[in-house]
Amino acid sequence: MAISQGHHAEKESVFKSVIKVKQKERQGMPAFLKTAGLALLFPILLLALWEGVTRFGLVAGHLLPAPSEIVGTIWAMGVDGSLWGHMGITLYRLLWGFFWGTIVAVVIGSLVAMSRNAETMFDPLIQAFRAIPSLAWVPLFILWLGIGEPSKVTLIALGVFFPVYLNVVGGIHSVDRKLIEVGKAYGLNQFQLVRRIILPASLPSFLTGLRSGLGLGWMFVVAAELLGASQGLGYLLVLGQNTLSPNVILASIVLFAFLGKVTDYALKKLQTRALHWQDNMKN
Amino acid sequence: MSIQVDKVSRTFQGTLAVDEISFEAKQGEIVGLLGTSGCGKSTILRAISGLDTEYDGTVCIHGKETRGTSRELGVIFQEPRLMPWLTVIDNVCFGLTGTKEENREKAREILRVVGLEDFEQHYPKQLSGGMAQRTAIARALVTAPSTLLLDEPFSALDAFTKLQLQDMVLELWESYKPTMVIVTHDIDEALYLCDRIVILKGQPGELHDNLEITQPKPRKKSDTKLAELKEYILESLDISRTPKQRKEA
Ligand SMILES: Nc1ncnc2c1ncn2[C@@H]1O[C@H](COP(=O)(O)OP(=O)(O)O)[C@@H](O)[C@H]1O
Ligand SMILES: [Mg+2]
Repeated sequence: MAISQGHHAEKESVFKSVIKVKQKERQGMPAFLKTAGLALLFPILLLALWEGVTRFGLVAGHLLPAPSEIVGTIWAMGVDGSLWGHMGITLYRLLWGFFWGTIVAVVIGSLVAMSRNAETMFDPLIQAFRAIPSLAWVPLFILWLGIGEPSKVTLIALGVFFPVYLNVVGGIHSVDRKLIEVGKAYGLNQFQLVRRIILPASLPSFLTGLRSGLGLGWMFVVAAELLGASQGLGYLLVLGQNTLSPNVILASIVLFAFLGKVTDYALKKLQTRALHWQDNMKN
Repeated sequence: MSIQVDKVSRTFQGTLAVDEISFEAKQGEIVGLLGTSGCGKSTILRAISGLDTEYDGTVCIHGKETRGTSRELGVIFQEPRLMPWLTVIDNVCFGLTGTKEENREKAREILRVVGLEDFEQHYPKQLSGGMAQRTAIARALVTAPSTLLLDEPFSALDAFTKLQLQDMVLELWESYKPTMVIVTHDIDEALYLCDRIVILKGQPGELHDNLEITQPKPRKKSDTKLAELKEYILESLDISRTPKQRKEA
């Protein structure tokens, strides 16, 4: 009896010490703060170094302004209200171009992927057009559509089109034939097959296409606005160059980075939400 | 519904895979297609189901020649083939056409039968192989098709689940007597379930034998008549040891 009690007590103490270890872990820094700190360490050091070298005049201030000065520029634009106009018009151009590029890519892409005839008719031509660097079209667009919004939106849409198109076609082509057979065994018609099997099965590839399309869209916004605009973040780049104000250029770059990241983050969220069923390494 | 398979052959890229197979499944009969792997069992079943239409010969369903799929036929594939973006219960509801509530009710009932009632909100990626196959079986059975085509439905399952689901198939059959064609390479399974066993053999697959089994169901696994049949089938498939070798062993 005594022996068994002693045994019991020993067991209990082992138990307690395990709990203590666990509590200690909990009291320590949460893991996500630790990784966030690690990830921020280097950028912050770099910023501090940059601030330092410009403050102490180690580099020419009129060529490389200090980070604080860039923040100040953005702040001033925010206060006088011009910031919102520039950001708004750039975002508007991007989203409008993204929208049209995606729509056209989805329509043509699904046609090409679903029908042999459409593939032989359209795909070679599209592949040939893809070989042309899209910026080469710019003079033609300007000639045809003028320097206003239509030519810009068209250029952006063209940039968005190709990655979305390729991923729509690829996604539909790679739908598992075995799953389509299940639908056929249940007597689904062509339209039902598309809605219930092909669409959800090709969604992962489509969303990947959207994300790379968005990336290219941002690239083409810059190009479109560099070519002639009276407002927008790209216009700020030109303005900064012409007025010899690198702080305006850098402010524009920072804003591009910010907006690019935000829009990509939104798509990424959409992606993880829509594809939580996927069985891959990430999940 | 009755099924007549008449001189069905199938050629893949110039090589003959099955050669003029003919057999019949009468209304309410359970027919087993038995044979070693690669002899063309799945190929025959795909021809009957209408998923493959490139075969020679004819398939008559209910006396009418058909080539193409039909809602009357339920198919259970060799692999689960679940939609990865649907939960277990939505997968089971896939072939149902009623209202959402009705469908769910039916699906829940059948999920209870296959023992997955606690997993209805899981996604296929969260299921084991056996659970996925049970979901697929539930998906085919929930529509109560008048003819069921099963392609090695239980071969991926453990022995216990297998026995359980074989009994479930028998119960289902008792309840409304659907016609069934079961592809299998498991002789015991064929002897336990089938009214008729069609034995395929060779490459290209040819019809080797067509045995009628008259023992009433449910059958005892220890039935001596069945044991004799098993012996006969093993010998005819040429995969058992000869009696002489057995004595030496
Ligand atoms: N889609 C296909 N393409 C080429 N050959 C095939 C195809 N499907 C089946 N076969 C061939 O047909 C033969 C029978 O296959 P299958 O019916 O799957 O056999 P079982 O189901 O009896 O194991 C095999 O030799 C296989 O290689
Ligand atoms: Mg097979």
